[in-house]
Amino acid sequence: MNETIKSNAGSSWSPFIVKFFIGSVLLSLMVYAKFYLHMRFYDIWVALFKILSIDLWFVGYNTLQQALTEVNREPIPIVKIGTYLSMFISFLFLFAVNPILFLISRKKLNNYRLEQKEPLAIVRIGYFISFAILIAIPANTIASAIALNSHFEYFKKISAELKYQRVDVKSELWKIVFKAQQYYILPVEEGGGGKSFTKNGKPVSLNDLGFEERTSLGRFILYQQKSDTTLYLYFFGNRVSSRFSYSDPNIVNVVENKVTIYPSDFKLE
Amino acid sequence: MKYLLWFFAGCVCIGIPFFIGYDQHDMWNSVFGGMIGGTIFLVLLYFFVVRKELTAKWKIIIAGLFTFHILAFAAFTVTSYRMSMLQRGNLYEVRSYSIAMGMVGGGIYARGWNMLHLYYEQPAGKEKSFVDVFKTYYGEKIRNGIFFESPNALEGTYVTFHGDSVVQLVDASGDAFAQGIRSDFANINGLTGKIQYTTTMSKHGVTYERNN
Repeated sequence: MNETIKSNAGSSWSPFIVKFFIGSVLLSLMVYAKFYLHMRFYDIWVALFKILSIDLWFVGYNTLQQALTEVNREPIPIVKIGTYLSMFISFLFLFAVNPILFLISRKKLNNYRLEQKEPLAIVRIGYFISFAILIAIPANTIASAIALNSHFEYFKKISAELKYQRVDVKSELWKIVFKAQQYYILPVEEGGGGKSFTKNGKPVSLNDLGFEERTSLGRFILYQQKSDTTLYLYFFGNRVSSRFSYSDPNIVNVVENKVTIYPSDFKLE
Repeated sequence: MKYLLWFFAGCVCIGIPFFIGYDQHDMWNSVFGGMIGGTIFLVLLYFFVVRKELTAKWKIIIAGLFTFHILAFAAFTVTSYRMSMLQRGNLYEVRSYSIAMGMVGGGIYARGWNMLHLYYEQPAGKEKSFVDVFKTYYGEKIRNGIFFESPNALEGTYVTFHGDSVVQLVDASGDAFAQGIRSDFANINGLTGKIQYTTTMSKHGVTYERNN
């Protein structure tokens, strides 16, 4: 317990400085609310949330919004200077104003202790608020980062699944559909069915069309029912669908598609 | 007064990298600039104020708090950035896929099927060659060797006839997001790295090949 308390007694700084910083914090919040929330002063919680999280959610949203505009071939909107300013205030508050406020109030409390005086309420309040911000905000931020990171992996998975479902499987289905329709049109002497989906009296098979039943994407089944002018193509994927049941998350759906092939049309289900 | 100077130092330390990264369209440079500036400022504040003026116990506590503060915001910034880039990349990919799927499903397959249908539906005794059938139905849409689906179409299909039996069509996208498999591929339309398909049609059937 040989700890020494460095005193700053007799220095020129006074409670005025503490008041000044609290005032700057409030002023920053007001400027932020004016610039960013368009004078919605009543919505102070939103402003607080934004200022304490540097509003990175907005930056992410803005990036996506701009990408959407870009792919729609529309002019990319300009980020308002007010948005930049409010973000700068966030950085300033979190990395400069609040730590300085904390240090000032901490030192002030030390001085009061040495002088055996009762600390001013404003110093105590300033100390506790700045201390809480220094602990709670990073804790909340790191929790958000962890949550976002788990979403990142999930989004990556979803993206791969969507490509599988909507591009890889669909293009393979289309190839089979087109090949079957071509088979229907081509005469028998050209290797077709001569206006029929049959070959030697039997329904045309995937092998006849040059496809395999089992592929890296999954299993394709081509079959016919009563009519020789209609084919049914069934696909069972080897991956789980990105469709998610909120009522029961344990339910997993395998990617599957059914296509009804007509001579000049098809229906994908 | 000293702390007021530190406040102004903070404005400079954070403000310079933050506003250097200013971009009318992209805020990420400024975010990273602000993070770097903020980190530098906290380190300076620690070494020039905390270490000199506070007790050993508080030096350790504040070092921990500042480190936690910096790491938390750095982690959140990097994660948010990665997420945004992933979402933006996905959007570009979806656009590229839809172009490729649209080219195949919307035009190429339908055209091939239609040509075969037209050829084999010709009245008996008045059969024309495959190329003649193509020219009869699509000839008006060909200008300077390029086939335009509609008069106002911006992009066309490059047509080549081989004798009177084979028609070859090359479709290349001009869309900025239509990225093909190889980025250095020289497309027929003079662009580089775009999606391109070649269709070969004859009375024996239609074949497709994705060139890029």
